[in-house]
Order: sequence, then structure tokens, then C-alpha cells
Amino acid sequence: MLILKAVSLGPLHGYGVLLRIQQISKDRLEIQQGSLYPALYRLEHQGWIASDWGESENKRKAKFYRLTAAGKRRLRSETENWNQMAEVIAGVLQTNPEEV
Amino acid sequence: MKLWGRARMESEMDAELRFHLEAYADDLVRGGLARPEAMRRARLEFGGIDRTKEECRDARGMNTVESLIQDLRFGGRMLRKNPGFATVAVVSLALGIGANSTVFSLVDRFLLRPWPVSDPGGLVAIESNSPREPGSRAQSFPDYADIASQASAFSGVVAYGLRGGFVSGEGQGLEARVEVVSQNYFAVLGVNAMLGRVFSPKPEAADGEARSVVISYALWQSYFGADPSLAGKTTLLDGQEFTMIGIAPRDFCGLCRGRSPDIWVTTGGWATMVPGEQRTYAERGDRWFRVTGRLRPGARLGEARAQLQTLARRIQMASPATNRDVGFFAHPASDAVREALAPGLYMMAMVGLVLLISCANVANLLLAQTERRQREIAMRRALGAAQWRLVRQLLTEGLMLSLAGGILGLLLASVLVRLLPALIPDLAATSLRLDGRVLAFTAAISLLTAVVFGLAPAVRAARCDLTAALKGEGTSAAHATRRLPLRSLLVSGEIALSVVLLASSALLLRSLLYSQRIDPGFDTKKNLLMLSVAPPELYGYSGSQAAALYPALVSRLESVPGVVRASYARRPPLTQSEGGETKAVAIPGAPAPNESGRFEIRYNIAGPKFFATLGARLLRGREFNQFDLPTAAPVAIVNDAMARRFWPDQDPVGRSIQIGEKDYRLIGVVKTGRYLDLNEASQPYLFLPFTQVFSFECTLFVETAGDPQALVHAILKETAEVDKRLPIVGAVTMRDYMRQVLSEQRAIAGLLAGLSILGMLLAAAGLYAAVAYLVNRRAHEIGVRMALGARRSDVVRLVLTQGLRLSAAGAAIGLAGAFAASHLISSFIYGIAPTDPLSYASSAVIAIGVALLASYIPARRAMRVDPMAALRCE
Repeated sequence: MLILKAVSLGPLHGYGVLLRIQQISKDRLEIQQGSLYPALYRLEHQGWIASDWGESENKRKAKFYRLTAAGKRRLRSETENWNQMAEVIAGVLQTNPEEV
Repeated sequence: MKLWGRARMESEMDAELRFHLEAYADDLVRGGLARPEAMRRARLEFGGIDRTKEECRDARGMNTVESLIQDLRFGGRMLRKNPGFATVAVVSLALGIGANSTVFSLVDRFLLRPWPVSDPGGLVAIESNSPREPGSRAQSFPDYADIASQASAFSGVVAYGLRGGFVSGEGQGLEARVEVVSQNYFAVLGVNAMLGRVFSPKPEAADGEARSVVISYALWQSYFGADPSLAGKTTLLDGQEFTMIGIAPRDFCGLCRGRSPDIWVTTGGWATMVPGEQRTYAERGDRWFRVTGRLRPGARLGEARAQLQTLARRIQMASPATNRDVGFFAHPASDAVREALAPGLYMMAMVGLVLLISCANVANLLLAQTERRQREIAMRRALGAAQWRLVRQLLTEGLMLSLAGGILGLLLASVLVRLLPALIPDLAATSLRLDGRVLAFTAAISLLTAVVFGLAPAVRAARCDLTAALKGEGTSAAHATRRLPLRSLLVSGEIALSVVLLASSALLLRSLLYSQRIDPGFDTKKNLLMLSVAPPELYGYSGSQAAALYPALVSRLESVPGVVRASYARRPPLTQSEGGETKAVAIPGAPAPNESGRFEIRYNIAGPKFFATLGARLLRGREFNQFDLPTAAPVAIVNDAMARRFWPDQDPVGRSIQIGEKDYRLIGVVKTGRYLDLNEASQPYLFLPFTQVFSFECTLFVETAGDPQALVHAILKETAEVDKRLPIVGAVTMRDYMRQVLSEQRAIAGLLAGLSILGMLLAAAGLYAAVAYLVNRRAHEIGVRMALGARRSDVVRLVLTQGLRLSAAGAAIGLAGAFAASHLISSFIYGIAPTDPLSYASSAVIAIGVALLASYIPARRAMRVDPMAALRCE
């Protein structure tokens, strides 16, 4: 989900995804570098992201990932699910002893 | 997924990961690190690159087909790298699989195929038990007719009985098996003609079809040259014209397995064909038909049984003379199939053992192989190959071996299947085919063997200790011994299996030797030719003309140069035809066996000089001669068993017995022989003179000075001089005849002996490989021993002891197994106990001897180990 979100903000290469996630999570989340690529390949295989070869900022060939239409839908539903879940858990955690 | 995209995908993945590392390193450089240090950090933080790649490949979901191809390529490379290993494994498997496919095609052809009739499950065999003929379950035609008309649980009941006849439509005549069937036979079984038509079930068609026959596929092929327009043409059966209305389907061989008829004729046709035969099937006491019924839909077997019981009781009351105590019994026709399956299953079990030996062999080779490859496998594990992936890789290699073995085995089977009919005369008439079922069976056992022999080495390889293997401990002696148990178990198991095979075949061979040594009461080594004469009554002879015909034939034959003497008899010895007819004999002085006061004694009718011609020893008195004429007093000859039973310690010559109303004077005693079957117990037997007791059935016996086969032509020319039309067929020498008599036993013993030799060779090869491998592994240790002063003989002893230990353990287990399995074989062996110690001891000795031989070669190699070279190796 995090990868989908990162890619939804614009096409990125693998290393970019890593940096973007660290950036938007304000360095609170750190992703194991080695496990990023299998995840990317899986998402691509499932058709949620697509890849093209392009040129990176420093003029090198790099593979850029972007969100597909299916990926957008997936991101939306995952986000909803997550928010719902978070609300429920938050509600549970806020429950006071008197309310039970 | 595009397979050809694999290389591109790989390079893209490389490029992408390289980009990642460099980009990260760039960032680190910007953070103030030196470039080499930055690259190092980048790699370190990234983790295992190859492992990531493998995970990426997985993630792409491209593994199933693609990695299979990868496995296949890799497997092919590994096998090519070890051609010796691959060849031995494939050949070993091919032998095992080939033997299995061949035996399966045999068993399938004869036993597993359901009857080619519609709904065989609804068929019920209806048998009788007659106290007068114990063991015979045949029915008489009148009993059949009553069952067919009165047992309402059956929608149809058929009768069929096998008889002999002479076909002489096209040139040379042929002795054919004629099945006499009830009019509704084909209709009730639901069998249609392949060409033409079958008998109509309508009773009113019976008269019209009394001159019709249905021809079997085999006869159509062999005798009528597969003439496609044969239906409707005529042929001569026993000299009379019959219309061949149809040809039966290829798969339909009657209901008696193993005895397929050549021609079907209705009972009506049979009655008109053989004048005397009207009697033999119209009489309630004459039982030679088999009866099969088809249950009415919804009817239960119990219902049918109850009806048959009532009916049997009613017939007992109405015809006590013939049917006293005769009951009718019904059981599913498939029961008979199951009974007949026993030898087939036995053969399958034996080839199964051979296959197990080949599997153990290949498993052992694979184990040795994986041990040799331990470093490679450990390396691949360390580089990130998943455990299951390695197992799969090794299984794929096993599968490749077994498939190659399967294909080669199939080739072998196709050769064997063509050779078998030549080895087993009984099979000559039938064609064995490697059809879809055999192919499927071969594929199935190939797959199964791959799993059986491939799994253990694969799992072991995957579980191997990484660090130890990489450090190179794999070659140390300590390691080798630790790994030993499974491999020793396999080798001992192989030896055990081959001992089971050897013991079984030793039993069968001993039994065969015993049968060959049995004295059948005549000289089987004589130069003797036997010829059957077609019943002369069919060719217009009256009884008295025919009675003159046989002596005329004999005197003609004796004039042929090279013929020593000739004689004739009603039937040759050792035929079971017509169940060995009996005569009711009253013996004065002997206590009456039953109310009739008569003994049922089997008999033959013999011409003058019969015993001299056959080389049967006359113990007392004389044999029949040309003066024993119908006008003279009736005479008879008994065998020794009969003499001893009824006249113990007395001379029976000169005494009389009573057959029918006549008194017969005994003129001689002949040595007891075997009359129906080589393996029968000795029984009383009676000979009557052909010159006094006439029969239309006749076999000629011609003794020659040289090879009888060379005289066949001259003999047939001479008989044609007597009567051109009269077919004289089936010329067979005594040697060939005896070979036929022994053929079934010989075939089983031969096949099994072949299998056990094959099994022993495979096991020996396995043991050789195992010991040779051990010697290789222990070369270092042996070198040290020799350096420390061990003599060469010590080394040889060391290696041989190892082989001996393995094979002795295997032989002990094998003997126990063979002993446990001996009851399976007991129905195939005669004259020796299934626990015959000589057979067991010899097979154990052979197995251990071969095992020692197999370990002697590596032992000699061990002896030549150069201590210096072995020590430097480390």
C-alpha cells in the first residue's frame, strides 16, 4: 500500500520509491532495501503498477514505476479499508472502563 | 508469460539493481563517503543480491514452467557430465520397466480385459456338482434346457461346450476347436459379428442355421487369409458343408479364458454333423456343457440360487438314474476370472520385485551422485536457492532418468512382446499388442519409480549440512561411514529381493525337472510321430469299413522305408480331452464301491503293438494282437496300479472283469503311467483292444528309425493312397508333443528364471557400484592403513568383508521373504515341497557368491591403492 501511494504521486524508480517512502513518512519508516524489489515485481505481476525504462535525474537509465488504473482502484479500496480498521481500533482503544 | 523474454528480464533485473546500488552509493558519496566505501556500504545494506533476484523471479510468478525448463536444462547438463552414471541408471530402469510392461501386456491381454460382452457383471456361471465326476462342473444339455426354461431369475441362459473338428475348406485340413453353443449364445452375451451376422436367438431360426457356423477372428486371419467377403461362403467342417455366416469380433474368444474356440456351431448343427452326437447331447447323464446365465434386471443372485436349488431337486426326483445328488450352483462369472488371475498376479509380483531392485539400484547411484555433488548443492543453497527448489531440481533429474528408462523400457518391451509367442507355444495364436493401456501403465510406473528412487536422495541433499560440506569434509572417511546406513539398507534390500526371485525360480525349475523326470509310462525319447485321423464315419465309412481302415493304414505305413513299426489308439496319452472317459467295471471278489457294484475306471482303446510302439513296459502277459477279433473272447489289459489295487499279491492275468454284460479276460499288466496329466497321482487304468471295441476316434503312432519329421511327407503320401479324401492331420513328433505338454510349466519357470537372472544381475551391479564407491571414498584410509603396514590381502579382506556383510544380511532377509511367499507359488509346483531346502540354500549361495564377485573387483582396485598418492590427496 505504501508503495502504491508512493508511486501514485508520480512515476518513480526503485530507489526513488525507497526515498519517497522515507520522505513522506518523515524517516519514521525504513524499508529493507533487499525486500523492496520483490515487492515491486509482485505488484507489477498483479497489474497494479507498470514499468517503463526512462532516464533518471542524473542522466542514467532507470526503470520507472507508475500506478495503473487497477492500481488506483486498489489503492483507494486499501486506503478505505485501512481507515476503517484504524477507526475501529482507535474506537476500541478510546473506550473507557465505565462505558463497558 | 513469454519464455523467450527470460534473458531480457534477467538483464533488466540486473540493470535495475545495479542502478539502485549506484544511486544509493551516489547519495552516500554526497554524504561524504569515499566511492569504494560507499559501494561496499550500499551492497551490505542491500543484503543478498542473488537472493533478492530469486525472490523477484518468484514474485513475477514465472516459476512453474520456466524454472522447470531451467531444471531440465540443468539436469541434462548434469547427466551429460556423468554419462556413465546416466547410462547405468537408465539401462537399469529400462530393464525393470521393460520387464514390467511386457508382463503387464500379457496379464492385461488374458486376464484384466473385461469380457467383450455387454454388461459382463450380470453374467452368472451355473455349475453342477456330480458325485460321479468330482471336479467336473459341466452340465448336460437337458439340464441346461430345464434351467433355461424354468429359472425365471435369468433373462437368458446359454450353453457352450468345446469339441474338436476338422476344417478342410481351403487346401490342407486343420484340426479346429469347435464350440457347440445354444442357439441364443451370441444374442444373450450381446456379441455382434465383426463381419456378417451371428446366430439368431429365435427358436424358429434353429433349423435354418443348423448348417451355419461363426468363424473366430483368429481362424479368419490364419486360415481364410482375412478374406473380407468370407461371410456367406461355405467351408467343410468334418467333411460337411457349412455356411460361414459371420466372423466374431477380434476380442471375443469365448467365455473360457485361455481356450479360445475357432468355430461356433449350434447344437442343432452339431447334431446333424456327427450322427452319433445326437445322443451325447440329448442325454441327461452326458455332462460336457458349460452354462452361463444373465440375471434379469432387478433379479438378485440369491433368488437365482433358490430357483436353481428347487429345480435341481425336481430333476433329482424325476431322473434319479442320472441326477442323483446332482445340485446346481450359481456364482458371479467374475469369480472365475479372479481365480484365473492368480498366476498373472504372481508374475506381476515377480517383475515388481525386479523393478524394485532397479529402483534401489538407481537410488543408490543417485545417493552416491548427490554425495559427490554435495559441495555444489551446498554452494547453491548458500547462494540463495530455496530448499524445495533444490529438491525439485533433484526430482526433475530423477524424472528425466526414469522417463528415459521408460522409453527405452518400452522399446525393450516391444521386442520382448514379439519374441514371447515364439517362446511360449500357448501364445502363438494370440497377438500381443502394446496398446494405450500398456503405454499408460509404463508411464505410471516410470513416474512412480522416479518418486521412489528420487525422493530419498533429494531430501537428503536438501538437508545437507552447509558448513561441513563447504569446508570439504564431504570427502572424509568419517563422513562416509556416517552416511552408510541408508545405502547399505538399499544394497541389502536389493540382495534380499533377488534372493526371493532366485528362490522362487529355483523352486519352479526343480519342479520342472521333476516333471520331466516323471515316467509317463512310455518312452518319450523315441522317434515317434503321432497323427490324428478325422472320424472316418464323416467320409462315408461304415463301422466295419472303418474297422478295416486302421489296420490297413498301419500296414501301409510299415511299408514306408524308415518306419520301424506303427500302431493306433483311440487317443494319445496325456490328453485331457473329454475328461478321460471311464467305463463301469465290475470286478469279481472286490467289495462293491456303490449300489451299482461297479468301479468307474478310465480307459483307452489300443491297437496291436501299441505298447511296443510307444515303448511302454509290459510287466506280465502279452499285448493285443491281430487275433483279438470280435469273434474271439473279449480281452483287456490293466495297469500295475489297477492290478495292485484289486489283486494284491496275485497275478491278474487270466482273471476276468465285467464291462457292460460282457466278461473280459485279462491278458496282460502294463507299467503304470500318466494318462491325463503328468502331475496326476497314479490311478487304475484299463486298455481295451481296438480290434474288439471300435471307436471312430483314432490316433496313429509311427515309430521311425531316424528323425520322424523327415518322414512326415512320405507318411502322408502313403495314407493318401489308402483314401485321398480322409484328412490325416496334426502330425506331431513325440518330442514336440512332450514339449507342449510341459510348455505351461516351462513357460512360467523360464520367465521367472529370466527375471531372477535379471534381478540378480541388477543387484550385483548395485552392489558393485556401492562397494566401488566405498573403496573410492576410503582410498585415503586404505592408503593410511597400507602405509602403516597393512598387507594387500588385509585390504582385500576388508573390502570383501564389507560386501559379504551386506549380502549375507540381504540373503537372510530374502530367505525369510521367500519363505513367507512360498504359499503363493505352491499351486505352480509339483513333486517338491514349497519349502524345499535345496532351492533356498542354492539361491542364498548364488546370491552371496555373485555379491562376493561383485565386490572382488573393487577389492582388487583397493589393493592397488598407492599409499603415497592417497596420502598426498589430502
